[in-house]
Amino acid sequence: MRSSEAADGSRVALHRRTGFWSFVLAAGLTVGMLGWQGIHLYDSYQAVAHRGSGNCPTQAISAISADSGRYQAMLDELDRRVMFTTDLAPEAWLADWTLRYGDAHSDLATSLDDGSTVGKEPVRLAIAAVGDAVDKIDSGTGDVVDSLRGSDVDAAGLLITRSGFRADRTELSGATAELEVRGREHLESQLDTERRQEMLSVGLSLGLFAMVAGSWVLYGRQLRVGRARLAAEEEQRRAAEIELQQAQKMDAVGLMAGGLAHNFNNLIMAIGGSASVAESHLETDHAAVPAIHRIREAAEQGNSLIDGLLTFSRKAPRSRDLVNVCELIHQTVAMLEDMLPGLIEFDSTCPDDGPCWVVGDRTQLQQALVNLALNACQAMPDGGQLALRVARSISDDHETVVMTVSDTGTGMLADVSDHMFEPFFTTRPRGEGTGLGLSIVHGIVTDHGGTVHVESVRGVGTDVRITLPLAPAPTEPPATLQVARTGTVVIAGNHRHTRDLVSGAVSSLGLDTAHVDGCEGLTDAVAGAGADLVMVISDDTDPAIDLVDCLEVLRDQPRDVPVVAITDLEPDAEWAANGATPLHKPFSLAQLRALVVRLTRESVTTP
Amino acid sequence: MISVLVAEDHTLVRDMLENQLEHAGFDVVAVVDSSDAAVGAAGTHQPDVAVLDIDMPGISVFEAVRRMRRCSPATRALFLSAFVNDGYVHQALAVEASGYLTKTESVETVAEAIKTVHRGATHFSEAVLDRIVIGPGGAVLLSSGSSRIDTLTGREREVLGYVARGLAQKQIGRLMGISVKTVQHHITHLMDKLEIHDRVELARFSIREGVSQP
Repeated sequence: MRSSEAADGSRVALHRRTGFWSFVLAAGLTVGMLGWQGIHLYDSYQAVAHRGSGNCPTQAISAISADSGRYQAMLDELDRRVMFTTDLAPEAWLADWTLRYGDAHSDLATSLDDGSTVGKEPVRLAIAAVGDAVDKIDSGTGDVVDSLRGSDVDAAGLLITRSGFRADRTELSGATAELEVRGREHLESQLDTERRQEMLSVGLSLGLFAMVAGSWVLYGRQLRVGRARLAAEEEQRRAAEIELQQAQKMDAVGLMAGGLAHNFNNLIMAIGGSASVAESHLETDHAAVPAIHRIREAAEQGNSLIDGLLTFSRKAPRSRDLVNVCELIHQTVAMLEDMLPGLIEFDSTCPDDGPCWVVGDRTQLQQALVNLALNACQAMPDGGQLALRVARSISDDHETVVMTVSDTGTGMLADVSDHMFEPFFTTRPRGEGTGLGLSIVHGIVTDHGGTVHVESVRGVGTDVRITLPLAPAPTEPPATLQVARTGTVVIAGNHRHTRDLVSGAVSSLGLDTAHVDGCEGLTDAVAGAGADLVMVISDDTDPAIDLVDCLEVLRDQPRDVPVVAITDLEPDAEWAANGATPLHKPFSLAQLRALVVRLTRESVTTP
Repeated sequence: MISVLVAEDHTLVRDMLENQLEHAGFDVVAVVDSSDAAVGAAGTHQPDVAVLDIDMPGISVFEAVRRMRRCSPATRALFLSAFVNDGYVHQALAVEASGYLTKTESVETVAEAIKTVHRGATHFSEAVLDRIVIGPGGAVLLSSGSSRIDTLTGREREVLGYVARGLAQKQIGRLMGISVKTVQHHITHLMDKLEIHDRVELARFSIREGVSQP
């Protein structure tokens, strides 16, 4: 029971742990997925935001390219004016141009500054090259402008056409073109990176989504299994509560029945005893004698009712022998076949692998089976099948014997089976049954440490299952307590209660007893018993007894008289050599009785 | 003639036993209705056999037998009970009782048991007899299974019996000849040992274990 409960408990705990961790996994993965999506969204937002600001490399490259174009256009305009229209060049144009040139130069310088933060090495170098080219051009342009302000168009023309100045402008164009190429490359590389990141992100998102979906499915399954287990546990608990209530009710009813039996016992004893007294004062042919007989019969019937109540309330004495249940079943069926009409078909089944043993009172167990069988027969007024089956079973790690009494009768309604073990509960007509039969079954089985379960289907039949603890098979067949000869057993010992108990046990075997306090009295007791002397039992633990002296007394006997020496020490070599059989304390009176029986048999067979 | 003391609180049974035993040839020297009276009568009459109901008012019948041993050592005790109960048999053996009878048995059986006991033998039913074990410390009943009752001392069992009968601590102290404080001490101990802290439950346990009658 305990280990099964522990196994159930650990299974439930494991299930709870699995459910909890399934939930944690599902929730964790969901949070992870949402987090990942959030991070991705933030990244995208950041990218878009940076793209609009100057911090974006692509933006910076575009700005430098555009400003460089404007700057070059300004130089081209200057070149065109100097080369072809200097004569027409008014002072106002130069001022306007200088202003626009300054703006273009300033914008380019700003965008170059912004571009200096670009981290990519090739782009950064290309920007630097643009910057270098602008720096080189800048002083040359200043000289041209100064010449134009001094109306020295020829000098301006010479400066413009100067090969160094041209080369610087070509360098600027080349650097700008290079920057555009590098910018495109950078853009493509960035696009590739973003594409890869996007694919990774989508893949990861899909993976996470799959895991989240899987974990929620797993959690849902765990939840369903948990609910089913909870429902089963609730059902078990409900059944256990009902069983407990039933047990408490039966316990209370048992106490009440015991109390009733106790009080009625006094009355019945007084009635029966007084009737005996009255009868003893009357002549046998007195007119009142039949009435007194009826009183005594009624008292005896009352006694049998009280016996039933006492058995139900587990206050009836019972022996504790090893009982072969299979043999008991076969004998019970044989007995029932004689008792019951031929309409009932009997069947008995036992396990093939040998007898099943229980410790208990054979008579009581047979009474339980007979009561159940009689009840089953009542449920089959038109005949049917009555089966008594025995099987071994393991219940809560303990081996048990299950005896099942099955009938094909009318079955019972639930409200009948709920009350069937209560004393005086009967469905039979008034006066046809005491209502104690099944109460007695309950009392007997409970007193034997067993349980009774009933399964009944209306119109199909009833199974009553008795479960008892299985006992180990006896190592040797049980001896019958039949002494081989009758006569007197002399008991020597000073301790009165021990001597009286030994005497009581010996008397119960049909032997007479004589008591002596010590070996001095033994001679007279042995002489008094004469040929009837069966045995001497001596209490060697009594300081007043010297067994060696006692054995001396018996030496003159014409035949060997068995001697039992009750002792709490190792056997004395001297008296053991003289044939005394030791009986070590502590010993049960059952052992003593078996020993006495064995010694009487041996003494008969020994010449 | 065997002299007999009858102690039984139930009047009908007491009168019937007196008549029947006298009719069977016994010398019924005293008929009393309580354990205390039984001790006094035993001291006065020194009967050969005392037939005692297990459940009587006053002190516990087992304690009465212990006291009887002091004032009438030769008297053999034969208990009469409504049913056989391991708890009672255990206590009966502890006071070296000579027999244990149930009231469902006939008066003839009671008379026969008195003769057996007087002869110097004991009278127990076969089912009980085989479970009696004689050890160095005396006779005990082979337990049919461990019970919490086994953890109690003799004195605690006696107190439990009185508590189950509904006696007040002062009454218990008077019956046992001990102070109320000692009674309280015993009750606390036995409640702790039995893990029962409710007097009603204690009474139920006591009846179930056969320390007291229902």
